[in-house]
Amino acid sequence: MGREKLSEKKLIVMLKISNITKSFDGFFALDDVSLFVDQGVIHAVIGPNGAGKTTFFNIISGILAPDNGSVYFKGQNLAKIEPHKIVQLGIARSFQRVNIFPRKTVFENIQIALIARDQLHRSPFKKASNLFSEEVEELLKVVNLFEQVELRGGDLSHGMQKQLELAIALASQPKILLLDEPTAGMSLSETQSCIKLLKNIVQDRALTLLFTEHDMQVVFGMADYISVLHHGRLIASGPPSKIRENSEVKRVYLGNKAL
Amino acid sequence: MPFYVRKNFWTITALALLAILPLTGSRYSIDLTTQVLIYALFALSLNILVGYLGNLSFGHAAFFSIGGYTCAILLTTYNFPFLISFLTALAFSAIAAFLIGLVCVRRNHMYFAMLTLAFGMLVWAIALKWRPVTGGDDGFVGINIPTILSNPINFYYFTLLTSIIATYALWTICNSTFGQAMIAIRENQNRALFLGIDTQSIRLKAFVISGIFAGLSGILFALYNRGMYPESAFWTESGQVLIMVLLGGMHSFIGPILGAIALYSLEIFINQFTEYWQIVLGGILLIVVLIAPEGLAGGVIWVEKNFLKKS
Amino acid sequence: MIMTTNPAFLFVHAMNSLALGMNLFIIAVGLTLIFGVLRVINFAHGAFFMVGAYVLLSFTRWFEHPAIGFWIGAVAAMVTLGLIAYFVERHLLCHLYEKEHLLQLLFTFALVLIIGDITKIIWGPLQHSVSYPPGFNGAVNLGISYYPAYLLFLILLGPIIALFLWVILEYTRWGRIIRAARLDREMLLALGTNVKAVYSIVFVVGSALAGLGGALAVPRMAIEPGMDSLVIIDCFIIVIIGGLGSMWGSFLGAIILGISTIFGTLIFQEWEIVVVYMLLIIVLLWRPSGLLGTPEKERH
Repeated sequence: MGREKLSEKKLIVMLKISNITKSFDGFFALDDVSLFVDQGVIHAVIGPNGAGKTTFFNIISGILAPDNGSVYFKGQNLAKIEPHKIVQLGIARSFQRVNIFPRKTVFENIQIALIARDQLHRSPFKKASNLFSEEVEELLKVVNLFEQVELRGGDLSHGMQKQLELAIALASQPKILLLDEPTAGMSLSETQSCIKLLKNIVQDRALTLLFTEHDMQVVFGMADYISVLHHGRLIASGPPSKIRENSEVKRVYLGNKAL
Repeated sequence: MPFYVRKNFWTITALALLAILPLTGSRYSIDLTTQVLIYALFALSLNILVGYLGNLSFGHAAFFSIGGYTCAILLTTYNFPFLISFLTALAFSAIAAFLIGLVCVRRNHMYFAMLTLAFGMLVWAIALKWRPVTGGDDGFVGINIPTILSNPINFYYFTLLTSIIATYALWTICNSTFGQAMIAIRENQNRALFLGIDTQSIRLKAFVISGIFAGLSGILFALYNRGMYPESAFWTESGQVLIMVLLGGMHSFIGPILGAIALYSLEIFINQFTEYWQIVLGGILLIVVLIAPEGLAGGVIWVEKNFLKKS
Repeated sequence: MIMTTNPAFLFVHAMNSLALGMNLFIIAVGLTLIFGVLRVINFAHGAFFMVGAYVLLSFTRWFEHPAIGFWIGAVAAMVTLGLIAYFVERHLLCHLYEKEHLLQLLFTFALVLIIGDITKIIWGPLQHSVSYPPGFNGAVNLGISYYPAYLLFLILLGPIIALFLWVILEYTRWGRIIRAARLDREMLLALGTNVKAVYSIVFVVGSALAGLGGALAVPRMAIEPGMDSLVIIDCFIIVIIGGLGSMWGSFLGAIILGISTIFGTLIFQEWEIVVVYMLLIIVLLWRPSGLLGTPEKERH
């Protein structure tokens, strides 16, 4: 599959996925998928339910091992690297279902991420109480949760929990952020502000963002580059304008509706 | 340091009362308090696993017994000096916890509970059957304890001092960055992993810490009773300590201490009226589980929130 | 070490292993069924077993005719445990399904304590025993050796119960629902089944099996308070070795436990009990999910 450059500017490859295959009991969740994620790009992976998006994320983050193929992060092969080490390399992720520490306060939710980033979680004698308080505040301001700092994570609204999870992911100062359905379950206005927030964050922090999404408005409103999965196969990959016009995408995924 | 005093008012008061307790001259209250201190430490050690890490261990009595038996055997059978026996017993508890932990932390939830149970019963079986070394079902009796500790008041102070040091150490650990990592694993192991926390090694470390302090309480128990018995390793003993933790409140540091005090006093009180202590215990446990899973400490917090903060 | 190659001697021990194993299977299969569907490890399963034994004891005392007392007692044990289980599940346990597994475990532990004292109050602290029921008190000539008829009955009953449960699980609507529940709870809701009823039925049937196992164990062992605390450990060993939730796993686990107990005693004498725990640990290191268990599915 041809790889389309966004511009003439030379891009650095953050993530190189080559010929990934993964099957469960003979059912191919991913079938020979290859793609590149360039630095600083907002890259969406879309596809109907069961297309293999979550499997794709799980392989990148090391939860699942592919049957075939490899994932390279900045040239380093991620095979056989444990999930927590992959995070330490600079790949942070969020999950489709909200995944926070419900009975920790908002403050502690972020603090533990910072503790883990600096690998302080192994020290049984380092006092935790006010550690990283400035950095936590800063991050909370980024995701607009500063007012909620003392609430327990589980007591936040769904949208806020998603924002908290984003802040947790950002806390590890990742180079690439994997977001699985970042706006799932959000209201329209929450979705709008979330898109804005994500765009700002990517810009300010020179992040690379790889995300899956079912909401086409979000996808086309955000992504610089889109890859389409269908039945575990990569059927198209390119900038939004190309994807819009791709006939195969229209046929299998969009039911011929205009985008 | 008025601020320091105000902040730690209850702790200081409690310690002061404990320090002057022998002045009452009541042998009964000294003995009772010594036993409560030992069980409070045992419960605190278990709460590292249950409350902080969220891993239900049903075999914690194993480490209690390993500590107790090792110290007893070294002191008596081998006539080792007290300090060496004491430290070696702690080391044995740590090694046992490390080896057992290696297997147990690979699994979660129910499997973890049942694995710890199986290992606990293995230790019980060894204590019961290795008659030449442990004394079998008669127990290991007649422990050689140093003369200075044979006086109940001295032993009380020894236990008190050991408990204070141990409790302070546990407090430090629970409020450390490591403690936060344990809570993170309890709350959401998967998320913790994706923060870059090697959850398995944290769990193993917590398991060992918990085992060491359980071993310490076992040593005190053996010294206090001048004997060690296989029943101390039986699974119902592990269950008993779990009840203390739950009754006191597993999501607070001092909960297990409250639980140990409450349960121990209650047992003595109830036993005056009836031999059916277990049914009362079961009833209490049922109420806590069904109605008040945060235990006594949860109740204290609730009262504070609703009645005391008004001023 | 006393070992002999005398075939009759080995045969009798092999049969004893099976008799013990099948008796334990009847109890343990209830535990595994309950775990498979409700995801609750029932510590009180041993206490249920003990109540079953005591109920049978009472019936053999009430009825003049020993055979009637025994067989009605066995049925009554099942019914009693079914009723107790129904009450426990419907009025207490059902409040805990959404809670942490820790509270569920401690709940069942509370039942152990309460039931333990209640049986002591009702039946007293003394030891009792019941002899083999008439018709089963002789020995049968099996060619190689004579063998007690009652134990032979246990050996045959185990597979019959296993096959019966297997047919129900494989070929009936309820069986399909139970198998579905084992794989995926949410699927049950999606199928629109009455999940509450499924949970109740499984808990009642599983507990009734514990009662039956207790009743049938009576001629083999002394009835006394505390008889539950080791049986529950045996059941745990069986279901862990076989794989939690697996019916045939518990069948296999029960046979393995029976063999290692009987032959372990023969070879290692009193160290047999240590051998059993070591065996358990080895199996778990080798196959963490048990011999026939499916690997634990991580949530999220």
